[in-house]
Amino acid sequence: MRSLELDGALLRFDRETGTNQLVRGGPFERCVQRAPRVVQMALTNQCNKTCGFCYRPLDAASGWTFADVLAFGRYLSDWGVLELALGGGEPTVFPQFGDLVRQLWCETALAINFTTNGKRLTPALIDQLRGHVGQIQVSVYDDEDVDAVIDRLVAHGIRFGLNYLVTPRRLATLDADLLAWSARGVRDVLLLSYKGDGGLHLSAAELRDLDARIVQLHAHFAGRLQLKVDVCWSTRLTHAPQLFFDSDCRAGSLFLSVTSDRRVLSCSFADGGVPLSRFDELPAIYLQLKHARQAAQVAGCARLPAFGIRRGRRPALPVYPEAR
Amino acid sequence: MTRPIEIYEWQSYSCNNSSDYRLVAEFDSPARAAAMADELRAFFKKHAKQYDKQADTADFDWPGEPTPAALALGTKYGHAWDEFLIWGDDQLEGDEPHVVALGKTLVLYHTYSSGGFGPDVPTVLKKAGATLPEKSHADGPPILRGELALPAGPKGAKLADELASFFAQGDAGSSPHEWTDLPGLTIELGGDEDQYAFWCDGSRAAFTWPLPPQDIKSVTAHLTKRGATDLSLRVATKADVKQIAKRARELDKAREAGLAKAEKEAAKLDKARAKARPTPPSFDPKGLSFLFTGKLASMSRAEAQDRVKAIGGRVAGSVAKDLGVLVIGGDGSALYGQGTKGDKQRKVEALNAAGANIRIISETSFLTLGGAESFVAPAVPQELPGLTLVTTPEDSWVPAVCGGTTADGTLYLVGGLSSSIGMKTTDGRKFTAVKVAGRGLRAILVDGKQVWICGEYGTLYHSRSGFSGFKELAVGTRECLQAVVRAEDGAIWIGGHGGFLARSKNGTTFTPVSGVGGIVGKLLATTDGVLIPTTSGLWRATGATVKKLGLSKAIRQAIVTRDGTIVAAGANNSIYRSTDGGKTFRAAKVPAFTAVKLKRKPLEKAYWVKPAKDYNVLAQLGDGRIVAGGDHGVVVASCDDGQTFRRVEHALTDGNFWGIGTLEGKVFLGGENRIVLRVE
Repeated sequence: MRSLELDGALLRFDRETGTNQLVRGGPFERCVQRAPRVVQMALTNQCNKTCGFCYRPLDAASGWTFADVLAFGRYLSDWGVLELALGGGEPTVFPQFGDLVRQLWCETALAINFTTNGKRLTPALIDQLRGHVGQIQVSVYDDEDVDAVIDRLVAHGIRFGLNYLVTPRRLATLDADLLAWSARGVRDVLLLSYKGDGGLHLSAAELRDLDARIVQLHAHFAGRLQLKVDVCWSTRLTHAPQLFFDSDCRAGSLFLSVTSDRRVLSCSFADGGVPLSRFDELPAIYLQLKHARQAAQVAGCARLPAFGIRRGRRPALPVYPEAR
Repeated sequence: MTRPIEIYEWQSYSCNNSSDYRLVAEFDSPARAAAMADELRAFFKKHAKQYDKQADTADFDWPGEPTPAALALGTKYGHAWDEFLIWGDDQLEGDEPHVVALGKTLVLYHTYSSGGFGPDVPTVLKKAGATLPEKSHADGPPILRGELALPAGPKGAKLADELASFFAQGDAGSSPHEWTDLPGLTIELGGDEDQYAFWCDGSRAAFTWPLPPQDIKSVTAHLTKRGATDLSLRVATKADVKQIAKRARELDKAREAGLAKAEKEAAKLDKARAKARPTPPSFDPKGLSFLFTGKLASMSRAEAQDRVKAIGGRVAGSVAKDLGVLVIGGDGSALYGQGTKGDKQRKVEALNAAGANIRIISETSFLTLGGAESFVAPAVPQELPGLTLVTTPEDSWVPAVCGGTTADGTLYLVGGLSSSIGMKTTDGRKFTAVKVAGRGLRAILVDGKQVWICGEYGTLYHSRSGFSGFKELAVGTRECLQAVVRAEDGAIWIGGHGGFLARSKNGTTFTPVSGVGGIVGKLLATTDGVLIPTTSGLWRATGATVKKLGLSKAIRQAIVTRDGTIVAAGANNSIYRSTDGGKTFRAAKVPAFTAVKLKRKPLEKAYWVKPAKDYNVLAQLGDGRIVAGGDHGVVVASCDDGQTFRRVEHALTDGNFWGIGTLEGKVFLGGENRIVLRVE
């Protein structure tokens, strides 16, 4: 297992099984985190879908090459990062994507995961990736046949999970969807909160409903299906059982985001960022981002006052100083 | 002692989970910009239709080829159209980009366009003779610069006030998504708060505003309807925002200087008046005999004689050498010492000349005699108050502790972030828990057996039987409620985020009160009405009518001091005071706090961390000193009725203060990090 010092604890991680061990107390109280646990990387800005809720900067360049990504992976591995999570755009449209993931797995100590819309997850690609990937995360889209993708992944015995954006409309079918997917062989679902303008944010009543239903679903599945909630929900889900609850999302600390045009952000929803000209600048950038605790200027960010959600659909919370 | 080792184990991998665009072009004439706008509108319609048709075919390979319309447009301007052009998240038709010509400027805008406007549209615009002042795919709506002449009279003042309140919302640092629109206007507000700027010199006003093209018509119609004339609107240059903000600062400074001058003149007049007034007598009236002469202005002769007895003196029947005090009535007071004297006064002066010791005082001086009705307030201590940590509520997340003191001398504290904290104290030292209702509590009002508690998600609980039997009241908002008070006329007022303000005559049925914007802070019931601090300024409600006072800054709390001064604290390290009942305000002197600058190149805007400098709570100690609590544990105090504030140094907390209460002349500050401090 590889180890990573967190602030006041030690995290041990096995990329083969996804096992995490957090050790705290005793001498580990003095640990200081100097590298993120995971780097989220937008491999390319190209996508084979056009979704209204997509938040990526559409004009950003796709500046990574096959060799660059490999070199970057090696650097992250040496720095102490445990996992590299690839996204986009759609990462599978990156040239020789299968080869890239295999090589990253073989040449680094990183767990390589990626998030995909599943359109290009052919049996050949799945076979190529088996044994060389941590977990494949499939985003659920209403206009895509996610069941077919699930069936393919289950049939090929590869570890995967679903990303499920919880919108007011989807709340109505949440139980039914999860029960159906569980029956199909899904073992891991991440419930994402919406970030952005528009009416996809949950109201206070809908949040309370979701909170209560997660409690019920968690009890119902009893470990057969692992339910996860993204860090942006923060204090909005007060009853949902969480392994470690932290109202701060730890963006820029636990994880870093690197864009397709080579900028470093505390999270993929943040603006601006620091241009990454040399990999060895990353530790200094990391320390700055870790302490800056920046908020992303997008409605739904947990670090914004009242999550930055416009009036009428906003659960209000105190203003956090770093968001001003 | 270190904690014992704990080990947690679980299985999980991390994943990577995966805007609006504008294009601005400058032409050499308005006619050319308008012609291009027409052409592009027609092109977008045609292109959308053709692309949708293409995308519906079975063998469509995303993202498809340039449409015939695109190729034709390119050919017309000598450009070989190369890339696809799409937008939205469904079909293109019916969702075409907005195109508007503003003078010589052409603006294209879409709330979501994949790849911005691609490389081809900008090229065509350039080939058509336009210059592109910014990068071809800038995100966010275009920033417009507007200037207008205000109508004359009250209409102009009202429009200026509305605009000032609207743009002042940026002072609080809140996202424009959270702002309240101009009264009567309903559009989506976007962009960053630092893109909004505004000045008004009384006759003209100018602003910058990130405004999507589709809303330009609504805004210009709105301003025109309110009497604005000579309205000009153009795409702002980078310098415009800075220039308008600079002009606003200059005008603020000039206003401050004018006010300072007026205040100086007023002080001179006060001084002159004070000089003309008789010095209050410095003798003990007990045992002395009093005689009155002339007509009394403030009371009857009988009342004056009763007062003599009340202050321990006795009433004399006539002038004699053992007379203690001769009081000259109000009518006579004006002539006191001026040469025109009555018989009694002349007799007393003659007796004094012969060796008697009879005091001659005015009616005004007579009124200042005696302890119980003395008009002279005790001096305000000049040293800063001290802070003591008094309790830490048992909650790991305590962002706010807000206080309410009852008439029977009990201070109640409520708070919690999605949790409940309820405590009370009668001595400011021992705190006991009380059962409260709701979560994320922000304010409490205890009035006899009736209790109101408000908080997050628009919750308001009410009980008629003390701290039991709470019922949630429907108040018609999901915004966080920050305050609940009872006004002098008995009505209950509540206020919170989103400009929410409501009033209830019976304490259970609330009627929204419109007119204020921004976030409503801590309400204060005064004899002149309810003070309503908001992020758009300070307001006062009398009855159900809300009126803006002379302060358009982001305010969190306002108080009325024992000298009748209104002191208001709020955003941007600012505290203001008014000595004329709220007509005008001047900035108090407050200590400067160093900004936290993490502006390290090449970090640029990503690393700007603004300094913590907002004051959230304000109260007056029993001895007259004023205390304000702010972000990052900042406490400041004033010993001169709010004219100057000094920092109270302490190391008790670096968390933000959110709540305040008073008990027995002491102030209690509550805030983050599970903390309640006593200030005395």
